[in-house]
Amino acid sequence: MQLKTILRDLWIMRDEMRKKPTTAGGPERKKLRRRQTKSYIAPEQPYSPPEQQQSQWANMPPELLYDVIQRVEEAETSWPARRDVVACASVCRSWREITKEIVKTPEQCGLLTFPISLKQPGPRDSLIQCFIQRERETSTYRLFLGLSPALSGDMSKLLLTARKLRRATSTEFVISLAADEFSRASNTYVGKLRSNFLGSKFTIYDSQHPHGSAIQTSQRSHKKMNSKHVPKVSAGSYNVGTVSYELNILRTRGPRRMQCMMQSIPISAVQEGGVAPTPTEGSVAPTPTDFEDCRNRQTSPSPVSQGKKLFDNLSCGSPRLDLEHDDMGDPLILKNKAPRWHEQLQCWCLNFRGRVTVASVKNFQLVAAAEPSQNVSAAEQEKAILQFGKIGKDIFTMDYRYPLSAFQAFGICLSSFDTKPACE
Amino acid sequence: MSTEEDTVQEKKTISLKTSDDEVFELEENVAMEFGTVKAFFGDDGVPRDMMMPIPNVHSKELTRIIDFCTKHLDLKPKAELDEAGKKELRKFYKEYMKEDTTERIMELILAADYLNVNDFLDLLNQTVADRISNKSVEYVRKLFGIESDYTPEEEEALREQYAWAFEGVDEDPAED
Repeated sequence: MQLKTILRDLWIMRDEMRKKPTTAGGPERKKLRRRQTKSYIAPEQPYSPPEQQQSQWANMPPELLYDVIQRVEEAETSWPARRDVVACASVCRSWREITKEIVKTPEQCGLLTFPISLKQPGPRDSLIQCFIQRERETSTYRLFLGLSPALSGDMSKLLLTARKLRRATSTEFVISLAADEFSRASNTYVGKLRSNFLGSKFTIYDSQHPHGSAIQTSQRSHKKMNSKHVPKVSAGSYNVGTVSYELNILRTRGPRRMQCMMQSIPISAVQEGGVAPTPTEGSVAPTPTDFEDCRNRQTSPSPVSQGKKLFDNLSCGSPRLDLEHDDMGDPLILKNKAPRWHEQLQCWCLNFRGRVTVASVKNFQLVAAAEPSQNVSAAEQEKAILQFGKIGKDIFTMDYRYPLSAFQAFGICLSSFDTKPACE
Repeated sequence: MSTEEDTVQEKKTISLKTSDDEVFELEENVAMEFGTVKAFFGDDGVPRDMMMPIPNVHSKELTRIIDFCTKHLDLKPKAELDEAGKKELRKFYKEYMKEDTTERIMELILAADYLNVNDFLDLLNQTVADRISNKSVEYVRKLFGIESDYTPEEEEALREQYAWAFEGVDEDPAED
């Protein structure tokens, strides 16, 4: 800041000397210098021919551009208007830098802005409210940001789309950013959910490393891989979590039990002062630039984002990765909250706070489940981290919060659509 | 009728000299809306009849800034009085920048920033923000004469991000 002030004063002095002498002499100039406290260098010639003026926008003083973009971000908090923020981030590099500085993560502000927001944890003290629309004819499931089709209507934002594919021994849900593109080779491929034969256990796979490309890169430098081993731009498959439904072979009536083991989220995320992994790369699906960076950063270790621990024993280069990491600690386990039997109504009840209105065996609320030794507060274990339930024919609400991301929450909910009779 | 003393007291104007050597005489209360001018004359007893050079501001911009400040000074106290005043001020804000081109706004932003005229700068920045809203990336680039400095691959990746942002929305980005 100081250097700029000095430089600025020099500009002014020079301009002064170029112009015709004013009535005042030295003392006035000195005073002028002392009083100027601006922090940027003003242009030498404020009035230039129009062609020069055009490009000035690209070089607009950063604090002024910051002010403008901040106004856009503050005004457009709901969709579809929020796309303006994405537009600002796409104009050019300087605009992008500033926009990314301004936009906060969903955890910080409860808003989804870029596709990467879908893979970042939700807010800690409130839920992000979404709904899922099922289209039976095409086995398509659409995740929207919004309260419900009736309440949000045009303001709903399509976040992710999944298509169910039945295979010989399993069912797979392919999850995509695009409404109608489900190819794994596409840049819009985000991840998938795959069931076992019985439909009692599901695994969620992320197309990208859930901890962001920073870790990936450092791993590559660790292993000193040469450029031949850098994979092509095809999606990886990172196991982020498994959803298990208890087999109910005796077919006793009652709520089914489910459990999620989140491989990519350590239990520390819900402990005092803990943080969940938050990827921060621009796009959600892998792009050429991600791998270009990998090649170039052969020797220098890259900083780990968000202070996460390094995963030394990750094996790189293979398309399938199991995140077995000794130093991450135990993974977070989520269990569904047991409903209580309501004697008078003669049914099982869970308090969905008005977000679920139709009784269904699919409805659930997930909370963190921890051993006493794992030091997770009782209050934390009471909070519903994910809530899913029916509100109409083919419409379900999905509310999620920290430490889950929209993508993980969606994956868990999709499993609910495929459980077999043995589990109900 | 008035003595020498009275004339000096009644004068209460400030002289500013622009980059194109034009001298403007403003009423003191208007001139004091300019943070830079206020700081210049300050408390040190810099005589108010001293002419202040503002070499980074052209007379074109200064004329406009003076116009804004004069009108604004008139409307602000009324807005504090009652609802009608508030309405009038809002209308003023809404209409004041309507006719200006984006290039003109940039010139005014730089001048208002230099002179530290915060109220006008707020309005100018808000006008820019409003002009960006609901437009496509291409439109914004064209409007501000900004060339994309991305590589083709980066541009492609951004296009996908952008496509996602527009997915599921019926309306097309406004192009005019």
